[in-house]
Amino acid sequence: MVVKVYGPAYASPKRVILCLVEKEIEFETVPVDLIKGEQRSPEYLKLQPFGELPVIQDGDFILYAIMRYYAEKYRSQGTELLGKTIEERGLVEQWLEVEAHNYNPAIYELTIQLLFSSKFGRPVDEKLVKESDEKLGKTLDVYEERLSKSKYLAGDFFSLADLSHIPFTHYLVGPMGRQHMIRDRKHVSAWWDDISNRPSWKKVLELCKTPFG
Amino acid sequence: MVVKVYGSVKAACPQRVLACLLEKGVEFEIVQVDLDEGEHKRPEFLLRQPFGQVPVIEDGDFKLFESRAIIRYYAAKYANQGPNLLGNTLEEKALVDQWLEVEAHNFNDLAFNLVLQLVILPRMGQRSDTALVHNLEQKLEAVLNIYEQRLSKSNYLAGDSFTLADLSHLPALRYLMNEAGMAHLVTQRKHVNAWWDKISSRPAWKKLASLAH
Repeated sequence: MVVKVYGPAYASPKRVILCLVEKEIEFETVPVDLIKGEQRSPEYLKLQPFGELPVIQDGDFILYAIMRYYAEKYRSQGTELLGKTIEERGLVEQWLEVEAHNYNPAIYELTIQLLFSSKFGRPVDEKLVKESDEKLGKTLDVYEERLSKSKYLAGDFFSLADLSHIPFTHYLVGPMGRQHMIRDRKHVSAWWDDISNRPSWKKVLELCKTPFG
Repeated sequence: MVVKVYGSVKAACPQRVLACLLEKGVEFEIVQVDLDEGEHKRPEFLLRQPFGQVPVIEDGDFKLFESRAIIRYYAAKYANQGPNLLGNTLEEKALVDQWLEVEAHNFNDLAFNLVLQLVILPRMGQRSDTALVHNLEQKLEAVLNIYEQRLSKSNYLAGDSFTLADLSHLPALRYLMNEAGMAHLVTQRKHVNAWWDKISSRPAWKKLASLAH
């Protein structure tokens, strides 16, 4: 029985798909069209009651906070994504939380404004864009400092913490035209080159197109 | 060696950590950080936590920030003492992580912003935004409806036992129900109310609440 991942076209599900590829776990994808509002359909809400992507179905097991589960379940295969010790795991969790609270909100807002507004026929809120750019810039300054002392966010090893950043940052340097935010920061730039050139990410992009080319 | 927790015993995010340490019987000392005076934004503190946020822990040489990373670390490190806050199987642990994520992404922003509008801004002599409060309240009602559904089938959020997922809600819920005057959000929902009664009666939480308020 193969894991089903819902919503492969979009960035949050790509975190999960990337994790599954790193861990060499077979999966299949089920499309969900956000523009048509399919995430609000009664069938989808039975799986994920908050109407958000992603969700997975692994036999009878339905889950919507997914990466840590597969990173632990398949600890002994593929890339180690959780560090080796409890302390290294602690640092992975720390930077996963940083991504969630200090990085993602700003970059997610930019995604909605710059990439999705036109698809929903809404005007771009320039004030929100400006605020988000500023917040993201401040966070990236902290990352620059961290990555000047550490090859990856949690230490000298690639982990879920770095992985978690990839799908939305791909939008930032691509269709959002904000590559300077990464390139103007020497260590962030080197880190981005490293993590975005992993064969796993290239495979994800081949398998799952984004809505933005 | 006693764990140092940097923060304030009254602040929600440090409380999340303190509740966990009390549940697990881990000795700690609180190092006051004066949030009203902006101590958390000063250069000395930024060396500990570059985003200028509390809490931070120092456990000998090991330092960690982000409250949900800290509670995961201690729940794992002290798995064999105090109550099991992480579930027994990988699947149970995944549900703990899922509901921790729900707390962080679907619950916390709404709860925090309500407390900001109803408690913190007035304390600072500033006016709150009535339309925003109404909007936040409606959204939180919708989220708590999903909790009501879940808790009608399950004693606690992740399953039959109290875990980090329930614990994580305690600080903000207490503020909502007391200082913010929003107790009806809980008391009007049969299963959420029963759940709140159970989790807020735990000795560890009562001890913290008496220290703090």
